[in-house]
Amino acid sequence: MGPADRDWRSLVPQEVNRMPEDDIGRKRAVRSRLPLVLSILFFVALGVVIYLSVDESVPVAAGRSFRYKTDGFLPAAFVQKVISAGVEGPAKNVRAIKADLETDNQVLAADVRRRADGTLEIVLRERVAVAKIASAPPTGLMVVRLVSPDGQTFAGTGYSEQTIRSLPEIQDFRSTGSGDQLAIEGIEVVGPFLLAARTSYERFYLQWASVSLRDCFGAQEDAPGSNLNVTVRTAAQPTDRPPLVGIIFSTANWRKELALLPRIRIDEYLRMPNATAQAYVLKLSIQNRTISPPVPEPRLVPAPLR
Amino acid sequence: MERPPSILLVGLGGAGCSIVARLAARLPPEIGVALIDTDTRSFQQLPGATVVQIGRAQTRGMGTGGEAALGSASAEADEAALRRIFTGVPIVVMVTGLGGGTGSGGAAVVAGYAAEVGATVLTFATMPFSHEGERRQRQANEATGVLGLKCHGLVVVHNDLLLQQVATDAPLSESFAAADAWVGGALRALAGAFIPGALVAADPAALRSIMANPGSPTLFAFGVGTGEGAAMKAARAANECPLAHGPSSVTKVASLFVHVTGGPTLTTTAAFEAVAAVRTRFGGETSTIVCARVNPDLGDRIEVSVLGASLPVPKSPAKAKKGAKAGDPSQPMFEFATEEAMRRGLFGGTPMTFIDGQDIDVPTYIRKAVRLPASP
Amino acid sequence: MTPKLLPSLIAVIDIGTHKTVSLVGQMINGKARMLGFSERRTDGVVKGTVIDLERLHHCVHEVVNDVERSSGRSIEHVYLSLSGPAAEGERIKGIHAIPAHDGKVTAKDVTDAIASAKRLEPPAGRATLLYMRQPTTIDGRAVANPVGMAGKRLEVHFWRVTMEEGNMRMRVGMVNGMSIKVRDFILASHAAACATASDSDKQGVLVVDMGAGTTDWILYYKEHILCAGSIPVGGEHMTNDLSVALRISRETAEDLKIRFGSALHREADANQTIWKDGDRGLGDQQFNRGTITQVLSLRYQETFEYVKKDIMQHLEQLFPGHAVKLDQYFLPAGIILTGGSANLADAAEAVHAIMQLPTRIGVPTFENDSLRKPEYAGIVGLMTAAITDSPPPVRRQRGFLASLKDLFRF
Repeated sequence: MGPADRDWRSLVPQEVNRMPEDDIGRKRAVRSRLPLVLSILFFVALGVVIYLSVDESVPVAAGRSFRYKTDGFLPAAFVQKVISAGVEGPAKNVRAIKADLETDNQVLAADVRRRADGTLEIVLRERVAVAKIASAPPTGLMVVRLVSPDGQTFAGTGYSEQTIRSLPEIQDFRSTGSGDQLAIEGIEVVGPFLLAARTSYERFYLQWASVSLRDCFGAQEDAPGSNLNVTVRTAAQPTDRPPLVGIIFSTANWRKELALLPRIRIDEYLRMPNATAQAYVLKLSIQNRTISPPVPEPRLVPAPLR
Repeated sequence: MERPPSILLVGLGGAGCSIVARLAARLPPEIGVALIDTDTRSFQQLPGATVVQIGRAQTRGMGTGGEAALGSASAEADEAALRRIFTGVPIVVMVTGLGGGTGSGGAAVVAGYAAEVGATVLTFATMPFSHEGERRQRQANEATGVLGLKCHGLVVVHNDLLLQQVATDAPLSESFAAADAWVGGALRALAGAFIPGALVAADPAALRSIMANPGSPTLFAFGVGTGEGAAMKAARAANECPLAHGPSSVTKVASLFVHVTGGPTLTTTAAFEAVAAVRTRFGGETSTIVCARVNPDLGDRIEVSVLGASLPVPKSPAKAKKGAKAGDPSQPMFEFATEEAMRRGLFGGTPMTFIDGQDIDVPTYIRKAVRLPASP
Repeated sequence: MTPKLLPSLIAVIDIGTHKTVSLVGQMINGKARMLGFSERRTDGVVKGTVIDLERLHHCVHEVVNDVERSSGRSIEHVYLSLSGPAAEGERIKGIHAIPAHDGKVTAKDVTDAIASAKRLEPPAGRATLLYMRQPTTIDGRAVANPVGMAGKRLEVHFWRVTMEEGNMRMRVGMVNGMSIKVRDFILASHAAACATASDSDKQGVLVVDMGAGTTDWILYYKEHILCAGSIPVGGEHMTNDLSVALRISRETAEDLKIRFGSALHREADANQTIWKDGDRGLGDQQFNRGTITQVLSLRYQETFEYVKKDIMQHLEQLFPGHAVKLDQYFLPAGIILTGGSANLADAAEAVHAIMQLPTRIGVPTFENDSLRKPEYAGIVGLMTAAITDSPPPVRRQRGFLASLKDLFRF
């Protein structure tokens, strides 16, 4: 052992990579590492964001399998068709598929995700159909299109025959445009009306065969005499009394009238001895073509013969 | 031998013997006097007194030459003789000068014997002047540690501090004589308490009760006043006495013994006033024993001497550990470092630093024996 | 494009009897700029010696924490100040005979001489702390740069400071316990001189740093250190003397010393009466100013007597047989007095009277106003000395991976 060993540096090899012992040491250690930790967190967060956005734009190979769910009626084949029919090549990515799906009016919103193993997960939300209309395209036969409460019409792919038959038909309407762009005058009244009926008074709604907009003045809903003329199916009614063939709701008051409807004992009235007409129509408000507003006073009147 | 005295004043070693010898003439017969030394020449100061020569074999009738080991060996050699003089004596007041051989080495041994035969031992030990050198200082310091354990009460008198009490113009060579005289005066005042015929009597047993346990630190203060309001002046002087002062020394004790003595002008009222003044300074909450006596020789001079002790505390080594429970109020930091602290102040408890044989932590003005102007 | 070099961080700590101070600076354009500063009362040190290591560790750690907070950096290396009699210095030399055929000194000769000097063993049980270069001599003649000069015998001299190994380990260990490495030790008196004496002063000057617990002195001759020493007496002793003499508490004594103290005692002082609190309120006390100045001046002067004796002893060792006189020919710049106790009134005058040399109070030059006081000469000087004597290596860019590893050191 030589004198060089007596130098303090060789006597004390300074080992300082130790965990700080007292709380001052811990405070200092935390403070010194804080910037590093924050920057790491920042980069991690950045990475996650990039990953997510990159994920969306990565191209999907054709023929890739997918998992599919919907809250409506569209079949998986529809989705497959859309995927296959979409733009080929590198542009076919998650965003493109979603856009393609949403072009169909029946689709309210499409949620397309790529799962970790590469399969797509597709969840669709469809428009609700409250009515149907007969639409005549410029060329070809009449087609039936379904109507949603907000006025959008769509093909009704995947709907069964029976379902379509049970929907009431909107008749005598004035419209502009065609196909997806068809705009029905007065739909802003009928749509909500049918939706409310279907949601809260389904028993009655299911009996309705059609709603005529002949006397509906659409935007001027409280114009005197503006009404919704509902035709009621007779098939399910009892035969030992005259049938109810129609209900007239006023466009101004239909909510109150719908609320009133369950309270009216139609069957009882129709069995009264003085019910002698062939068929009756229920007018829920007295409407005068010259005076407004309508007066809520339901009356059963004999149906006009046609 | 006649009935042993109620108080025995013992001088140990050269310095102790000379103090006691000087005092002896003025003491009443009730107080016994004895001299103990290795050096027979000490005994010549008081012919006819009770003497015990110790360590005949070790020192052959001469001094120990400053060797503490020799001093303790000498004391142990004559154990029987020492025990004999202490037997039957209720209170032994031992006076010794530490630093030399007989005092430093023998004091603890002698005190031990006295305590073993049933006496209450109160020791006055003087510490050497700073200018006497390092070796004596160290020896004296070590001796106080052991001595404190053996005595019931130990009063350490620093010659350095006494110097401040002496006249300014006294040459330094007289410092030894001056210190002795001062201690003598203090002792006389204390011993005089037990002479019968006092104005307010005190019982030697009462003194014993205060200092019941060995190792208990002792407070001693002494003050003199003359003329108008002498009693209060004396009390104030006692309050300011350097022995009871120092930045960190003990100032409040539980038990006090106050002896007021004066000339014919001393009244009981004045005496009690003085006692009250002393109590405000030094405590005495548990018990205060008062003795007042008239000594016609004193004229209009009044002397107040105070002896105090608190409850004993567990003895810990001289070095004060900073981590000790300093906040415990029932156990004040009494240690023999306290005496040291009085001189070395803040540095009491740290190792002494010596340059040129002087402990430089002791204030310069003390070591250079410079007398300071009195406080206004 | 050259990569940008990171400016080095310099952290210095001075642990004194009265206060512990830390300064953190950065080298910018060759000058040191202060980044952070912190100061606390020292706990656990009396007379320059450590009596309670745990308390001291806690105190120093707090100082480090404060300075890291105030400077916004974390400290990894620190320079420590070395003061007190525990650090003893002596002159050592390394001899190298210049090979005859050449006759000229080469750089290698100097290196060899230095190595042989550093091979000398310190006294038993002591560790070497630092070397300070002293003039080199060729054949007994002092030369500034020996390389290329002719001669037979080359001697290099160092002032080597050693300390008891246990003491050294304790200091380094305490710093390591805070996860900080000690980069180097610096002599406190040398630091104080770096802050208060100019290079021209160092042709011949005595710098005395009188702190609370110790008085460190250093003698410079021809710009090199000649010798240095320390006396274990400081301002604390003055306060203590006063508190024993007047029978007052330490704090009161310290207060009176600062307000009314003086290193000289004048007759007229005895006529002056001062009040402790000054408001004549209850508990106020009167003191005679003469007592105060008497006590303080005695102590102050005695301390300088000790310093003078110590210096003479050292000089006697260095130049045996020659009676060196401390006069203006030897020390043209006289004496520079610094440290907290230099604030005592009439200090310079008192020292002048004892040492018979022109004396001035040394105030450190520093960018920051609040540090231009004698008590901060030590810490300010530490920074200067650290940069000059043992500058920190250029900091490498820590790789991300290395920083990451550092993170997981927990």
